[in-house]
Amino acid sequence: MVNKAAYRRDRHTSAARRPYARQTWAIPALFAINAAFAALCTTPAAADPAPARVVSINLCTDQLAMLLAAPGQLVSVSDLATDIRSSSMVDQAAAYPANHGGAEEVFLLHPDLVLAGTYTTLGSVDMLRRLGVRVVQVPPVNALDQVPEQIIAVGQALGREDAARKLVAEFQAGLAALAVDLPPATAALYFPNGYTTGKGTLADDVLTRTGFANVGATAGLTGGGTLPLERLVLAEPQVVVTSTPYPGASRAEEILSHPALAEIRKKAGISAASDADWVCGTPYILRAVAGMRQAREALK
Amino acid sequence: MKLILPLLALLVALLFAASLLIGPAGLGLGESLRALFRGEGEAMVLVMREIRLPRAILGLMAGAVLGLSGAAMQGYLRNPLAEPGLIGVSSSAALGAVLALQTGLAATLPLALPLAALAGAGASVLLVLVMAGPRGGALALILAGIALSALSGAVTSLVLNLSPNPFAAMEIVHWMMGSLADRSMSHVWLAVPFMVAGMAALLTLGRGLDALTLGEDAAQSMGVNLPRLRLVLILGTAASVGAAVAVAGAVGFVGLVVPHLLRPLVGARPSRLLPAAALGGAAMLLAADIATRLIAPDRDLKLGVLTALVGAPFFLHLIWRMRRVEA
Amino acid sequence: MTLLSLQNLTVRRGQCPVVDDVSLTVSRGEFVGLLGPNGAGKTSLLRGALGLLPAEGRSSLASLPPLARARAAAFLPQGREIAWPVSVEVLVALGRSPHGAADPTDPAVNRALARMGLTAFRQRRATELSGGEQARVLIARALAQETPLLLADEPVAGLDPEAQIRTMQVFADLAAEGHGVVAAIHDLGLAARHCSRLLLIHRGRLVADGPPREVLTDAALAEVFGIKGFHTETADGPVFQPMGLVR
Repeated sequence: MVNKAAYRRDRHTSAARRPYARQTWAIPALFAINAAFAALCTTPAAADPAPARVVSINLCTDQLAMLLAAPGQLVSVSDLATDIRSSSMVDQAAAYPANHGGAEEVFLLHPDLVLAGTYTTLGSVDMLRRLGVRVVQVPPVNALDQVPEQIIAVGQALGREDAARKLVAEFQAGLAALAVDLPPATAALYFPNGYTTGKGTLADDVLTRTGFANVGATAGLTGGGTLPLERLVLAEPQVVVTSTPYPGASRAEEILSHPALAEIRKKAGISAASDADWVCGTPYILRAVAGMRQAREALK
Repeated sequence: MKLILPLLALLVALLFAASLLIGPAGLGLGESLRALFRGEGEAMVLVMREIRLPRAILGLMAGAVLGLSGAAMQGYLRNPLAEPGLIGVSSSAALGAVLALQTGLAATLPLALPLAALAGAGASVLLVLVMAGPRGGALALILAGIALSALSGAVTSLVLNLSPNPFAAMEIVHWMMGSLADRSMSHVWLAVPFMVAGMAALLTLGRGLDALTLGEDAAQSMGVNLPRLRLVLILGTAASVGAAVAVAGAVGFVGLVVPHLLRPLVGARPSRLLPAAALGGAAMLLAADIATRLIAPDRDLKLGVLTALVGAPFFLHLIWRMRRVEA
Repeated sequence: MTLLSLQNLTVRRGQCPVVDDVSLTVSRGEFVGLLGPNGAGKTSLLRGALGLLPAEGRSSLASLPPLARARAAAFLPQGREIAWPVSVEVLVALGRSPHGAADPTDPAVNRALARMGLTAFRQRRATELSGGEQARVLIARALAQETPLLLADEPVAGLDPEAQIRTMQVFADLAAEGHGVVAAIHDLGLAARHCSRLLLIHRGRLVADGPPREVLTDAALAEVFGIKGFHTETADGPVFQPMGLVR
């Protein structure tokens, strides 16, 4: 999940163009960088007057900005915001001109604020900063508890603290309403190339909160990594969450139709697909939580 | 020398067993065997029969195909450098397979995958035989192979880059280097019949290849039907290498190293080299596949990486020797 | 009995005939020397007769299926190719393959090795022998085929005098035993001395056919080779020695 999420959030990072090339090393790095940027990015925003022309070049800030911005304040969102596989707000995003995250293209939109992810191409961000554009970088979210901070951070950058607080309240109420009080059942997240996610990931948190024990975490993974198919099979998960294959063929995704996995899924009886709602730390993650809660209750 | 085939067969059997017993799940010997043969333990049966068995079978078969086709092509061209990977047959087969997958043909008609790879391999064998001429001159052979590999590699990369699937472009290296990770019994059923048919065809060529030791005129005068031999060689190589590449990717150097190592042990007779090279190729690929799992269990290390590490120095050594002979 | 019969055999390279309307027959007991300057068409005649080259006209050998032809005639090509380091006995045994298995213990292999004086070499690797020794091994392979007819393209080129004479004697012995031998030869002296019959080829055409004395005339030598020679009969048989150029 995280590989796909990070891939989508920061598609403009060259390493992130390789969905699996980065899976093993990028995730631990992500945590280190998060910590540094979280402190750095949030505080100064409040002091500035509300920006008038905001451009978002990151899938997750796209969605938060669309939820929080005043009418006319948001000028452009990234092209991923209109990708049905990545974005929970495809319809809303269609109303905005799309950008592809290039420094030149973004600069010509004359923004006074650019919202980016911490993995967005450093070249673009540096260039925009040299050109005098204010860039706020928002780190990826790795737990449901971090979602409010994320909302507040973007709200402050936009000068829309009130809207942000309202959204946070709604989110927290929604999360509380979805609380599950059931003993943990086993669930596995399984993606192309045998990629899975362990502790310290948003997807793991979604499973934990909905009464599941994540096989990836049990296997000792922190962040993302590969789990050999035979270890997945031996873990006998009760629910397997996979992704919907992309059009066109790939060997990476062939593993999702492997007979052994099909057998496991048949036995589990329930299979869920992780979709756009799982990608970002926005209130839409609640839909993922609700889906898994339903799956857990169906297991009873 | 008579013992060479039984010894190689024993080695292949041991490596096949090792391939079945070594894996990331770390199952015990007893429970592995019980799961495999008696079907005890639901999850373990899945692991043994659906994950490890197809991998071991494909490793054995693909290796045998590569060793055998290398020996057969070398025998026909009388050139120890002829090898499906080096002369572009494998990469052309990969192109055929990639086209079948990316056009969606393989999804609607599974047989399209091995058949397209067969067509790619067949076209390239034909082209190489035409380019290299009857005597299989080393220079023409290698140059034709370089051109063909580069061309089919480039088109494969292009097709994968243009794929709507973001993972496809990342798999160029798979098609160039080969891997047996996560193959299933469906791949076995799809590819093995073609591999068996192709190998059976190639194994009939022994007498003709022996006679070709003395050149085409001498061979023909000894009753070898050369056009027929050529046809069987092309079809056999195309079917077996095509099917192997379609499911395992292009693994290089097996067809170079194995015949080279075994030739002195069979008295250099092409007919005796054929079965020995098949067994030797199977042993080499099984060993390489086991090594990928031992060296980097979580990384899907490509088979071609290991075979090239062993094979490329061999290749240089052969060129060095041929240069001295020609000088 | 006729072992080979050619009727109006013509082999073309492009439009140009390299073998032009050749008709002849070879019978048991004949050791035929095929003479002619470089490029006269000797090799093309032999290959055309065997069906290794597309040819017009008729050849009794070319019309046979491959295996029947291999049992009717053995062919020793001009190019002395040994691709792999096989042992001498294995190489010679290849001659037995049209008769079944290429078995090095076949008595025919022993006979062929003995005739060529190679018995001591039988376990050696053929590729490690000297050029002359390799040539003898390849001749032994053709002998092992034990066919009624042997076609040999320059079998004695590059051999030392002892091996040349031994080879010519082997061929003459074969003819005496009732086989037929056709050998393309450049050494007119050896041909004159050992062959029972000579064929003279010039620009693809058969210009003379008969006993050595009748073929190696001053006129024919001047016309075909541009040389003159010394020819005499001795107690040991005919002697021919090329002496000089005509022009």
